Amino acid sequence: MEKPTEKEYPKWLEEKSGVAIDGSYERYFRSVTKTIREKTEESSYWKSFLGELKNFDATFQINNGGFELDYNTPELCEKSFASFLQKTYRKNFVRWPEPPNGGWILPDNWLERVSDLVRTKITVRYLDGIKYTLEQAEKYFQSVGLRTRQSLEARSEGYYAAHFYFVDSVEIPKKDWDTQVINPWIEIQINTSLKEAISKVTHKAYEVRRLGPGEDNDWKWNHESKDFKMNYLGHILHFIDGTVVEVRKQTITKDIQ
Amino acid sequence: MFPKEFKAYLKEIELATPLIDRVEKIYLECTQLGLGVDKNIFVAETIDGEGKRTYQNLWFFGDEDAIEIKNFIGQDDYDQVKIKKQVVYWALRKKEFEIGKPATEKSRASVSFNLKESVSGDFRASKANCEKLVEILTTYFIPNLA
Repeated sequence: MEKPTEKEYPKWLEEKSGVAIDGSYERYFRSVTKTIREKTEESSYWKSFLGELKNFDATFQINNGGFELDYNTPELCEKSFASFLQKTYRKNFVRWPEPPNGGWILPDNWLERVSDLVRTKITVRYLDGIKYTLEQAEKYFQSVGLRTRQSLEARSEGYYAAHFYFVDSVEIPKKDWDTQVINPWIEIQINTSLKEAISKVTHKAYEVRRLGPGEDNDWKWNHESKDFKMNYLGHILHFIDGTVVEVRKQTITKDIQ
Repeated sequence: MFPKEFKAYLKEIELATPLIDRVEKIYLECTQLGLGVDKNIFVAETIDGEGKRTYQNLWFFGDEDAIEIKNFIGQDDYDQVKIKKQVVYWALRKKEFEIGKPATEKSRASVSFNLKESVSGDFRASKANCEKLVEILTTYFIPNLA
């Protein structure tokens, strides 16, 4: 059997799950993600977390010669349905014709298996602030009784990303107007200000590549290709971020001497 | 013991809890050094165009002396100066702030001073901290003009 194309994917989903992926489902999806975002924003733990960021930064400054992370105030956003479908397409067919680990990602389970239905971004000035923030966030969310996980990604294509996730129970509408309780993951992406500045440009290119064919190493020697420039820019920025931390540390040492 | 009124002041100028703990630790160190600067406190700070507050130097005052901890958040840099009858010059600059009236969100003030022996310094304040700055000026600088 041929792997379904993106165009054929909604039909494939309907055959597998019996759920029509149409305009009505999209409206339902939007009402679910809106509910999750609003419930999270209204929660006391989220409001406290926003306040705690000030304390995280203060502690970092005390331990790092007064240099601050300068957190933004993270705002929760809902994932678009198009982006959600694209993500499940990618994940479902990663081992085609075999299902992905944990089975097919279908409407009866996908609200809990896609981990960024609602997400936000935190930017920090320094690279070491990323691991520090992951640690602080983990301590905080676990202290309020929520389950967490985190990942530090580094790809040969120059993509570096830190993600933190927490999960809480949320009552959402069902398609038949009843309600159900689900446990959706909320994603916090943590990045440096430097990488964030160019992420809008590079993210689009990564999205395109994720849908394309598998590993292609030609770009590594083809300095004229877009991939060469973009991917090595990613590595260079990561290197600069790391070097900035080293220079910052030397500055503190010199101040004391 | 860290004076309650010092803690209340630090909360009023919106210092994060870990920074209040740090100020308390510094105060206790000053006490252990026997510096006798336990009468008053001031934190110099500024607010940038986006409303972000940056804290600079921490001061403790005694009857005759003051101690300054430069960039107190990330450094341990203490120095003590005698102020009793040592002030030879002071200047107050202020914006959207009337002495004797409550400060507003837009209030800003700064005081610069010279002491004998060529010691000089300045304090900056914003919002309610402007009122504290005037208190420091009238208690420790104006009465100590040489």
